[in-house]
Amino acid sequence: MRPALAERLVERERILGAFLAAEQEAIALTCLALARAFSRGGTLFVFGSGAAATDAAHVAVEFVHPVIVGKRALPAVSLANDPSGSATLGRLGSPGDIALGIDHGGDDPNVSVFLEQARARLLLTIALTGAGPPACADHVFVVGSGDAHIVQEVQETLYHVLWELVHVFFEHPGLLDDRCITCGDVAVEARIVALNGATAVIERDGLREEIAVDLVDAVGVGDLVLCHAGVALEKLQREHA
Amino acid sequence: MTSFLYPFLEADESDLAAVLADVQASTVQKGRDVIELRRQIDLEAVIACGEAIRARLERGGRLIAFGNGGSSTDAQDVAADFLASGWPALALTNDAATITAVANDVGQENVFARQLIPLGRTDDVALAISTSGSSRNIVAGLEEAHRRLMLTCAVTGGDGGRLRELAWLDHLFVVRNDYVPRVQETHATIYHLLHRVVGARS
Repeated sequence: MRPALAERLVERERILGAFLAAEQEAIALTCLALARAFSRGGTLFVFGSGAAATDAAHVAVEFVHPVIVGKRALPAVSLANDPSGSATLGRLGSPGDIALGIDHGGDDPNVSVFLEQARARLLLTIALTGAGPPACADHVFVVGSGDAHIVQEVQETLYHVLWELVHVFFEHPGLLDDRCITCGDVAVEARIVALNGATAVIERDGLREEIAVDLVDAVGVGDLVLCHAGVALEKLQREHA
Repeated sequence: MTSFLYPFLEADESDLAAVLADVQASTVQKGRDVIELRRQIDLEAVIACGEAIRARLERGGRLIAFGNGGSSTDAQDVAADFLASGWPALALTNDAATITAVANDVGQENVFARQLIPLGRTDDVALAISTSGSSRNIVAGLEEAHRRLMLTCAVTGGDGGRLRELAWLDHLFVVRNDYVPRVQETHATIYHLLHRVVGARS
Protein backbone atom coordinates (compact mmCIF):
# COMPACT_ATOMS: atom_id res chain seq x y z
CA MET A 1 0.00 0.00 0.00
CA ARG A 2 2.78 2.42 0.90
CA PRO A 3 4.36 2.51 -2.61
CA ALA A 4 0.92 3.18 -4.11
CA LEU A 5 0.35 6.14 -1.77
CA ALA A 6 3.88 7.46 -2.37
CA GLU A 7 3.26 7.26 -6.12
CA ARG A 8 0.07 9.32 -5.73
CA LEU A 9 2.04 11.98 -3.84
CA VAL A 10 4.62 12.17 -6.63
CA GLU A 11 1.79 12.48 -9.16
CA ARG A 12 0.32 15.36 -7.12
CA GLU A 13 3.65 17.18 -7.22
CA ARG A 14 3.94 16.67 -10.96
CA ILE A 15 0.41 17.89 -11.77
CA LEU A 16 0.46 20.87 -9.37
CA GLY A 17 3.96 21.99 -10.41
CA ALA A 18 3.12 21.80 -14.12
CA PHE A 19 -0.23 23.54 -13.64
CA LEU A 20 1.16 26.52 -11.71
CA ALA A 21 4.14 26.89 -14.04
CA ALA A 22 1.87 26.95 -17.09
CA GLU A 23 -0.93 29.07 -15.60
CA GLN A 24 0.95 31.58 -13.43
CA GLU A 25 0.35 34.47 -15.82
CA ALA A 26 -3.34 33.59 -16.31
CA ILE A 27 -3.71 33.31 -12.52
CA ALA A 28 -2.16 36.76 -12.00
CA LEU A 29 -4.44 38.30 -14.64
CA THR A 30 -7.47 36.63 -13.07
CA CYS A 31 -6.50 38.08 -9.67
CA LEU A 32 -6.32 41.50 -11.33
CA ALA A 33 -9.73 41.05 -12.97
CA LEU A 34 -11.18 39.93 -9.62
CA ALA A 35 -9.64 42.88 -7.79
CA ARG A 36 -11.05 45.32 -10.36
CA ALA A 37 -14.49 43.71 -10.14
CA PHE A 38 -14.49 43.82 -6.33
CA SER A 39 -13.26 47.40 -6.31
CA ARG A 40 -16.23 48.36 -8.51
CA GLY A 41 -18.64 46.73 -6.07
CA GLY A 42 -18.97 43.28 -7.63
CA THR A 43 -20.06 40.20 -5.69
CA LEU A 44 -18.56 36.76 -6.23
CA PHE A 45 -21.04 33.92 -6.80
CA VAL A 46 -19.64 30.40 -6.58
CA PHE A 47 -21.19 27.16 -7.72
CA GLY A 48 -20.34 23.47 -7.89
CA SER A 49 -22.38 20.30 -7.52
CA GLY A 50 -21.61 16.95 -5.93
CA ALA A 51 -18.26 17.04 -4.13
CA ALA A 52 -17.49 20.39 -5.81
CA ALA A 53 -20.37 21.93 -3.83
CA THR A 54 -18.03 21.76 -0.83
CA ASP A 55 -15.42 23.75 -2.74
CA ALA A 56 -18.01 26.40 -3.59
CA ALA A 57 -18.79 26.78 0.11
CA HIS A 58 -15.08 26.86 0.89
CA VAL A 59 -14.46 29.71 -1.57
CA ALA A 60 -17.34 31.75 -0.15
CA VAL A 61 -16.15 31.48 3.46
CA GLU A 62 -12.57 32.28 2.41
CA PHE A 63 -13.57 35.61 0.87
CA VAL A 64 -16.25 36.65 3.38
CA HIS A 65 -14.42 35.65 6.55
CA PRO A 66 -10.67 35.74 5.86
CA VAL A 67 -8.52 33.32 7.87
CA ILE A 68 -5.74 35.88 7.88
CA VAL A 69 -6.48 38.67 10.31
CA GLY A 70 -6.46 42.10 8.70
CA LYS A 71 -7.43 40.98 5.20
CA ARG A 72 -10.44 42.82 3.86
CA ALA A 73 -13.70 40.86 3.78
CA LEU A 74 -15.00 40.53 0.23
CA PRO A 75 -18.58 39.82 -0.84
CA ALA A 76 -18.99 36.18 -1.88
CA VAL A 77 -21.91 33.76 -1.84
CA SER A 78 -22.01 30.05 -2.56
CA LEU A 79 -25.13 28.99 -4.44
CA ALA A 80 -24.29 25.31 -3.94
CA ASN A 81 -26.37 25.05 -0.75
CA ASP A 82 -29.18 27.22 -2.04
CA PRO A 83 -32.37 25.17 -2.44
CA SER A 84 -33.02 27.02 -5.70
CA GLY A 85 -29.55 26.04 -6.92
CA SER A 86 -27.79 27.95 -9.65
CA ALA A 87 -31.15 29.43 -10.77
CA THR A 88 -30.63 31.90 -7.90
CA LEU A 89 -28.05 33.62 -10.06
CA GLY A 90 -30.82 34.80 -12.40
CA ARG A 91 -32.20 36.96 -9.60
CA LEU A 92 -29.08 37.84 -7.60
CA GLY A 93 -26.42 38.36 -10.23
CA SER A 94 -25.96 41.53 -12.23
CA PRO A 95 -23.36 42.97 -14.64
CA GLY A 96 -20.11 43.62 -12.80
CA ASP A 97 -20.50 40.60 -10.54
CA ILE A 98 -18.30 37.53 -10.82
CA ALA A 99 -19.30 33.90 -11.32
CA LEU A 100 -16.93 31.06 -10.43
CA GLY A 101 -17.95 27.54 -11.46
CA ILE A 102 -16.09 24.49 -10.13
CA ASP A 103 -16.15 21.06 -11.76
CA HIS A 104 -13.79 18.24 -10.75
CA GLY A 105 -14.43 16.57 -14.10
CA GLY A 106 -15.30 18.50 -17.23
CA ASP A 107 -18.88 17.69 -17.99
CA ASP A 108 -21.06 18.83 -15.08
CA PRO A 109 -24.17 20.22 -16.83
CA ASN A 110 -25.10 22.16 -13.69
CA VAL A 111 -21.87 24.14 -13.87
CA SER A 112 -22.38 24.75 -17.61
CA VAL A 113 -25.86 26.14 -16.97
CA PHE A 114 -24.52 28.32 -14.15
CA LEU A 115 -21.80 29.79 -16.38
CA GLU A 116 -24.18 30.29 -19.30
CA GLN A 117 -26.58 32.20 -17.09
CA ALA A 118 -23.69 34.28 -15.78
CA ARG A 119 -22.52 35.14 -19.29
CA ALA A 120 -26.04 36.06 -20.36
CA ARG A 121 -26.21 38.44 -17.40
CA LEU A 122 -22.80 39.95 -18.28
CA LEU A 123 -20.94 38.70 -15.23
CA LEU A 124 -17.21 38.09 -15.31
CA THR A 125 -16.92 34.29 -15.53
CA ILE A 126 -14.24 31.93 -14.21
CA ALA A 127 -14.31 28.17 -14.71
CA LEU A 128 -12.24 25.55 -12.87
CA THR A 129 -12.52 22.19 -14.56
CA GLY A 130 -10.76 18.82 -14.74
CA ALA A 131 -9.63 17.19 -17.93
CA GLY A 132 -12.44 17.56 -20.39
CA PRO A 133 -13.93 19.94 -22.93
CA PRO A 134 -13.05 23.52 -22.02
CA ALA A 135 -15.82 25.38 -20.25
CA CYS A 136 -17.19 28.58 -21.71
CA ALA A 137 -15.90 31.40 -19.50
CA ASP A 138 -13.69 34.49 -19.56
CA HIS A 139 -11.01 32.72 -17.52
CA VAL A 140 -10.78 28.94 -17.83
CA PHE A 141 -8.42 26.75 -15.79
CA VAL A 142 -8.20 23.10 -16.80
CA VAL A 143 -6.31 20.72 -14.50
CA GLY A 144 -5.05 17.86 -16.63
CA SER A 145 -5.55 14.77 -14.49
CA GLY A 146 -7.95 11.84 -14.57
CA ASP A 147 -7.70 11.59 -10.75
CA ALA A 148 -10.60 13.69 -9.44
CA HIS A 149 -8.91 14.00 -6.02
CA ILE A 150 -5.80 15.51 -7.56
CA VAL A 151 -7.91 17.84 -9.72
CA GLN A 152 -9.75 18.99 -6.61
CA GLU A 153 -6.55 19.59 -4.63
CA VAL A 154 -5.01 21.65 -7.44
CA GLN A 155 -8.27 23.61 -7.69
CA GLU A 156 -8.15 24.22 -3.92
CA THR A 157 -4.63 25.61 -4.21
CA LEU A 158 -5.83 27.69 -7.16
CA TYR A 159 -8.78 29.26 -5.36
CA HIS A 160 -6.70 29.83 -2.26
CA VAL A 161 -4.07 31.58 -4.40
CA LEU A 162 -6.74 33.68 -6.15
CA TRP A 163 -8.01 34.75 -2.75
CA GLU A 164 -4.54 35.35 -1.29
CA LEU A 165 -3.25 37.35 -4.23
CA VAL A 166 -6.33 39.40 -5.07
CA HIS A 167 -5.39 41.34 -1.94
CA VAL A 168 -2.01 42.27 -3.44
CA PHE A 169 -3.81 44.45 -5.98
CA PHE A 170 -5.75 46.25 -3.24
CA GLU A 171 -2.36 47.46 -2.01
CA HIS A 172 -1.92 49.15 -5.40
CA PRO A 173 -5.16 51.09 -5.81
CA GLY A 174 -3.70 52.94 -8.81
CA LEU A 175 -3.97 49.70 -10.77
CA LEU A 176 -7.64 49.36 -9.91
CA ASP A 177 -8.75 52.71 -11.24
CA ASP A 178 -12.09 52.60 -12.84
CA ARG A 179 -10.43 53.59 -16.06
CA CYS A 180 -12.83 54.22 -18.89
CA ILE A 181 -12.06 52.60 -22.22
CA THR A 182 -14.06 54.95 -24.42
CA CYS A 183 -13.60 58.25 -22.57
CA GLY A 184 -10.44 59.41 -24.35
CA ASP A 185 -10.17 62.08 -27.01
CA VAL A 186 -10.04 59.57 -29.83
CA ALA A 187 -12.07 56.51 -30.73
CA VAL A 188 -10.47 53.19 -29.81
CA GLU A 189 -10.75 49.62 -30.99
CA ALA A 190 -12.14 47.06 -28.54
CA ARG A 191 -13.49 43.55 -28.75
CA ILE A 192 -17.07 42.62 -27.86
CA VAL A 193 -17.14 39.92 -25.17
CA ALA A 194 -20.85 39.87 -24.43
CA LEU A 195 -23.99 41.08 -26.11
CA ASN A 196 -27.44 41.79 -24.72
CA GLY A 197 -29.77 43.45 -27.21
CA ALA A 198 -28.53 46.95 -27.99
CA THR A 199 -25.90 46.80 -25.24
CA ALA A 200 -22.52 45.12 -25.41
CA VAL A 201 -19.60 44.62 -23.06
CA ILE A 202 -16.27 45.45 -24.64
CA GLU A 203 -12.83 44.49 -23.41
CA ARG A 204 -9.50 46.18 -23.96
CA ASP A 205 -6.27 45.69 -21.97
CA GLY A 206 -8.10 43.70 -19.30
CA LEU A 207 -10.69 46.42 -18.73
CA ARG A 208 -14.36 46.09 -19.52
CA GLU A 209 -17.10 48.54 -20.25
CA GLU A 210 -20.70 48.46 -21.28
CA ILE A 211 -21.47 50.36 -24.49
CA ALA A 212 -24.40 50.92 -26.82
CA VAL A 213 -24.25 49.08 -30.16
CA ASP A 214 -27.45 50.25 -31.80
CA LEU A 215 -25.55 52.44 -34.29
CA VAL A 216 -23.80 49.46 -35.86
CA ASP A 217 -25.37 46.59 -37.76
CA ALA A 218 -25.18 42.93 -36.82
CA VAL A 219 -22.32 42.84 -34.38
CA GLY A 220 -21.54 39.67 -32.45
CA VAL A 221 -19.35 38.42 -29.63
CA GLY A 222 -15.74 38.42 -30.79
CA ASP A 223 -16.19 41.35 -33.21
CA LEU A 224 -13.84 44.27 -33.09
CA VAL A 225 -15.56 47.65 -32.94
CA LEU A 226 -14.40 51.22 -33.05
CA CYS A 227 -15.96 53.03 -30.13
CA HIS A 228 -16.04 56.37 -28.36
CA ALA A 229 -17.93 57.84 -25.42
CA GLY A 230 -19.90 54.72 -24.63
CA VAL A 231 -21.05 54.09 -28.18
CA ALA A 232 -19.86 51.67 -30.89
CA LEU A 233 -19.33 53.73 -34.07
CA GLU A 234 -18.21 51.16 -36.57
CA LYS A 235 -17.72 47.43 -36.89
CA LEU A 236 -14.16 46.72 -38.03
CA GLN A 237 -13.43 44.05 -40.59
CA ARG A 238 -11.67 40.94 -39.32
CA GLU A 239 -8.55 41.64 -41.42
CA HIS A 240 -8.06 44.86 -39.49
CA ALA A 241 -7.96 42.94 -36.22
CA MET B 1 8.57 59.07 -26.74
CA THR B 2 5.05 59.01 -25.34
CA SER B 3 6.47 59.17 -21.80
CA PHE B 4 6.79 62.93 -22.24
CA LEU B 5 3.09 63.19 -22.98
CA TYR B 6 1.84 60.46 -20.67
CA PRO B 7 4.29 60.07 -17.78
CA PHE B 8 1.61 58.64 -15.48
CA LEU B 9 0.48 56.08 -18.02
CA GLU B 10 4.01 54.74 -18.34
CA ALA B 11 4.45 54.59 -14.56
CA ASP B 12 1.12 52.78 -14.22
CA GLU B 13 2.02 50.26 -16.85
CA SER B 14 5.39 49.40 -15.36
CA ASP B 15 3.79 49.14 -11.90
CA LEU B 16 1.25 46.73 -13.27
CA ALA B 17 3.92 44.61 -14.92
CA ALA B 18 5.95 44.54 -11.69
CA VAL B 19 2.97 43.59 -9.54
CA LEU B 20 1.88 40.89 -11.99
CA ALA B 21 5.42 39.49 -11.97
CA ASP B 22 5.39 39.43 -8.13
CA VAL B 23 2.04 37.67 -8.12
CA GLN B 24 3.29 35.05 -10.58
CA ALA B 25 6.41 34.32 -8.54
CA SER B 26 4.32 34.10 -5.38
CA THR B 27 1.93 31.64 -7.06
CA VAL B 28 4.75 29.27 -7.99
CA GLN B 29 6.25 29.51 -4.49
CA LYS B 30 2.92 28.63 -2.85
CA GLY B 31 2.85 25.45 -4.94
CA ARG B 32 6.33 24.54 -3.67
CA ASP B 33 5.21 25.18 -0.09
CA VAL B 34 2.31 22.75 -0.23
CA ILE B 35 4.40 20.12 -2.01
CA GLU B 36 6.91 20.32 0.88
CA LEU B 37 4.14 19.88 3.48
CA ARG B 38 2.74 16.87 1.62
CA ARG B 39 6.18 15.22 1.64
CA GLN B 40 6.00 15.20 5.45
CA ILE B 41 2.78 13.14 5.58
CA ASP B 42 3.36 9.95 7.59
CA LEU B 43 2.14 7.34 5.11
CA GLU B 44 2.43 4.46 7.64
CA ALA B 45 0.07 6.37 9.94
CA VAL B 46 -2.32 6.97 7.02
CA ILE B 47 -2.37 3.23 6.29
CA ALA B 48 -2.95 2.33 9.97
CA CYS B 49 -5.79 4.85 10.30
CA GLY B 50 -7.39 3.83 7.00
CA GLU B 51 -7.35 0.16 7.99
CA ALA B 52 -8.89 0.95 11.39
CA ILE B 53 -11.64 3.00 9.70
CA ARG B 54 -12.34 0.16 7.27
CA ALA B 55 -12.62 -2.35 10.14
CA ARG B 56 -15.29 -0.16 11.79
CA LEU B 57 -17.22 0.37 8.57
CA GLU B 58 -17.19 -3.36 7.83
CA ARG B 59 -18.76 -3.93 11.27
CA GLY B 60 -21.62 -1.65 10.27
CA GLY B 61 -20.21 1.67 11.48
CA ARG B 62 -20.53 5.00 9.72
CA LEU B 63 -18.08 7.80 9.04
CA ILE B 64 -19.12 11.01 10.83
CA ALA B 65 -16.97 14.00 9.86
CA PHE B 66 -16.90 17.51 11.28
CA GLY B 67 -14.96 20.76 11.16
CA ASN B 68 -15.38 24.55 11.25
CA GLY B 69 -15.25 27.02 8.35
CA GLY B 70 -13.16 25.75 5.44
CA SER B 71 -12.63 22.51 7.36
CA SER B 72 -16.41 22.02 7.51
CA THR B 73 -16.32 21.83 3.71
CA ASP B 74 -13.51 19.26 4.01
CA ALA B 75 -15.72 17.24 6.36
CA GLN B 76 -18.54 17.38 3.79
CA ASP B 77 -16.10 16.46 1.02
CA VAL B 78 -14.70 13.39 2.78
CA ALA B 79 -18.24 12.25 3.62
CA ALA B 80 -19.19 12.67 -0.07
CA ASP B 81 -16.17 10.59 -1.12
CA PHE B 82 -17.02 7.76 1.29
CA LEU B 83 -20.66 7.79 0.16
CA ALA B 84 -19.50 7.56 -3.46
CA SER B 85 -17.49 4.45 -2.52
CA GLY B 86 -20.55 2.79 -1.04
CA TRP B 87 -19.95 3.53 2.68
CA PRO B 88 -22.40 5.23 5.01
CA ALA B 89 -21.07 8.67 5.88
CA LEU B 90 -22.29 12.10 6.91
CA ALA B 91 -20.94 15.50 7.88
CA LEU B 92 -22.22 17.30 10.98
CA THR B 93 -22.27 20.65 9.18
CA ASN B 94 -24.81 19.68 6.54
CA ASP B 95 -27.77 20.98 8.50
CA ALA B 96 -27.84 24.73 9.15
CA ALA B 97 -31.01 24.37 11.25
CA THR B 98 -29.31 22.04 13.73
CA ILE B 99 -26.06 24.01 13.83
CA THR B 100 -27.76 27.35 14.43
CA ALA B 101 -30.23 25.88 16.94
CA VAL B 102 -27.49 24.38 19.10
CA ALA B 103 -25.18 27.37 18.73
CA ASN B 104 -27.98 29.74 19.68
CA ASP B 105 -29.38 27.71 22.59
CA VAL B 106 -26.33 26.11 24.21
CA GLY B 107 -23.29 27.61 22.53
CA GLN B 108 -21.19 26.92 19.47
CA GLU B 109 -18.78 24.75 21.49
CA ASN B 110 -21.53 22.11 21.60
CA VAL B 111 -22.61 21.99 17.94
CA PHE B 112 -20.86 18.68 17.22
CA ALA B 113 -21.06 16.97 20.63
CA ARG B 114 -24.80 17.68 20.79
CA GLN B 115 -25.39 15.91 17.47
CA LEU B 116 -23.23 12.91 18.45
CA ILE B 117 -25.31 12.28 21.59
CA PRO B 118 -28.33 11.03 19.60
CA LEU B 119 -26.42 10.02 16.43
CA GLY B 120 -23.16 8.34 17.50
CA ARG B 121 -22.91 4.55 17.80
CA THR B 122 -20.14 2.31 19.06
CA ASP B 123 -18.97 1.15 15.64
CA ASP B 124 -18.94 4.64 14.12
CA VAL B 125 -15.87 6.65 13.18
CA ALA B 126 -15.42 10.31 14.17
CA LEU B 127 -13.16 12.24 11.80
CA ALA B 128 -12.46 15.77 13.03
CA ILE B 129 -10.67 18.34 10.88
CA SER B 130 -9.23 21.49 12.48
CA THR B 131 -6.36 23.66 11.28
CA SER B 132 -5.64 24.94 14.81
CA GLY B 133 -6.33 21.76 16.78
CA SER B 134 -7.77 23.84 19.59
CA SER B 135 -11.34 24.63 18.56
CA ARG B 136 -13.51 23.89 21.58
CA ASN B 137 -16.32 22.34 19.56
CA ILE B 138 -13.86 19.97 17.86
CA VAL B 139 -12.38 18.85 21.19
CA ALA B 140 -15.87 18.48 22.71
CA GLY B 141 -17.05 16.50 19.68
CA LEU B 142 -14.13 14.09 19.91
CA GLU B 143 -14.66 13.71 23.66
CA GLU B 144 -18.30 12.79 23.06
CA ALA B 145 -17.28 10.35 20.31
CA HIS B 146 -14.75 8.75 22.66
CA ARG B 147 -17.39 8.41 25.40
CA ARG B 148 -19.52 6.54 22.88
CA LEU B 149 -16.58 4.24 22.04
CA MET B 150 -16.40 5.51 18.49
CA LEU B 151 -13.05 5.38 16.67
CA THR B 152 -11.58 8.88 17.04
CA CYS B 153 -9.46 10.39 14.25
CA ALA B 154 -8.29 13.98 13.86
CA VAL B 155 -6.45 15.94 11.17
CA THR B 156 -4.94 19.21 12.36
CA GLY B 157 -2.20 21.80 11.84
CA GLY B 158 0.15 24.12 13.74
CA ASP B 159 1.63 22.29 16.73
CA GLY B 160 -1.43 20.06 17.10
CA GLY B 161 -3.01 22.37 19.68
CA ARG B 162 -5.21 20.86 22.35
CA LEU B 163 -5.73 17.71 20.28
CA ARG B 164 -2.17 16.67 21.16
CA GLU B 165 -3.17 16.52 24.81
CA LEU B 166 -5.94 13.96 24.20
CA ALA B 167 -4.07 10.77 25.17
CA TRP B 168 -7.00 8.56 24.18
CA LEU B 169 -7.23 9.88 20.62
CA ASP B 170 -6.86 6.88 18.28
CA HIS B 171 -5.30 8.63 15.25
CA LEU B 172 -3.87 12.13 14.94
CA PHE B 173 -2.29 13.82 11.90
CA VAL B 174 -0.53 17.13 12.48
CA VAL B 175 0.50 19.23 9.46
CA ARG B 176 3.23 21.26 11.15
CA ASN B 177 2.52 24.68 9.72
CA ASP B 178 0.54 27.74 10.79
CA TYR B 179 -0.46 29.03 7.36
CA VAL B 180 -4.07 27.92 6.98
CA PRO B 181 -4.43 27.72 3.15
CA ARG B 182 -1.45 25.35 2.73
CA VAL B 183 -2.47 23.34 5.82
CA GLN B 184 -5.97 22.86 4.38
CA GLU B 185 -4.57 21.75 1.02
CA THR B 186 -2.43 19.16 2.84
CA HIS B 187 -5.45 18.06 4.88
CA ALA B 188 -7.27 17.36 1.61
CA THR B 189 -4.41 15.08 0.56
CA ILE B 190 -4.47 13.24 3.92
CA TYR B 191 -8.17 12.47 3.82
CA HIS B 192 -8.03 11.61 0.12
CA LEU B 193 -5.25 9.10 0.89
CA LEU B 194 -7.26 7.75 3.85
CA HIS B 195 -10.17 7.25 1.48
CA ARG B 196 -7.86 5.38 -0.88
CA VAL B 197 -6.63 3.06 1.89
CA VAL B 198 -10.20 2.33 3.01
CA GLY B 199 -11.15 1.53 -0.60
CA ALA B 200 -14.58 0.76 -1.96
CA ARG B 201 -17.17 -1.36 -0.19
CA SER B 202 -17.04 -4.92 -1.57
